[in-house]
Amino acid sequence: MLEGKAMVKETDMSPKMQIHAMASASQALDLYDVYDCISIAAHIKKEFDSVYGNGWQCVVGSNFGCYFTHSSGTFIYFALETLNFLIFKGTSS
Amino acid sequence: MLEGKAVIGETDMLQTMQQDALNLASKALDFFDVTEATDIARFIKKEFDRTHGPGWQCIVGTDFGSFVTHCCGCFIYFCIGSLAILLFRGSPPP
Repeated sequence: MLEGKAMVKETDMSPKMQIHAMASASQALDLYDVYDCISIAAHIKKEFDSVYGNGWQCVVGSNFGCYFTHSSGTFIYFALETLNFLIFKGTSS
Repeated sequence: MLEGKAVIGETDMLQTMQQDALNLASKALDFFDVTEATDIARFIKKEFDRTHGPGWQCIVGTDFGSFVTHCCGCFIYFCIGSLAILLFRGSPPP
């Protein structure tokens, strides 16, 4: 497990789900290199789809901005090591 | 208008909608600096919500990877200038 601690920048998730998100990210960083953003994002998104139902989206990287609509209670943006992580469940409303 | 031409990396989108996306990105880069990734993303997402229905998501940047679920026919990833842009409509809630 990584020594580094995750820093939440923005979220409206329950604390339990937040911890799950950061644990999943940490696990992904054990499995993949920090340059393999797509595999890291895939790992986290699939985990969330299987545990909390389909429709999750995940963005990982060191330089990005985005604009999206998300379901209530399903958004977190945090930093871990050199990467930023964005996880949310999209919605149409 | 940018001199550079957009390069489509991956898409699942009608040709006309693709062109919309590229035109909007080009227009956004006239309005905003390349460092204002969030403003560019907002501009594109809001316009697509308006013209093609709600639920679009847009990611802009020079360094990111993502893994998403999208509606059929509503996905495009392309590069324009120094930026990569991902635009998609997420799956509607069940």
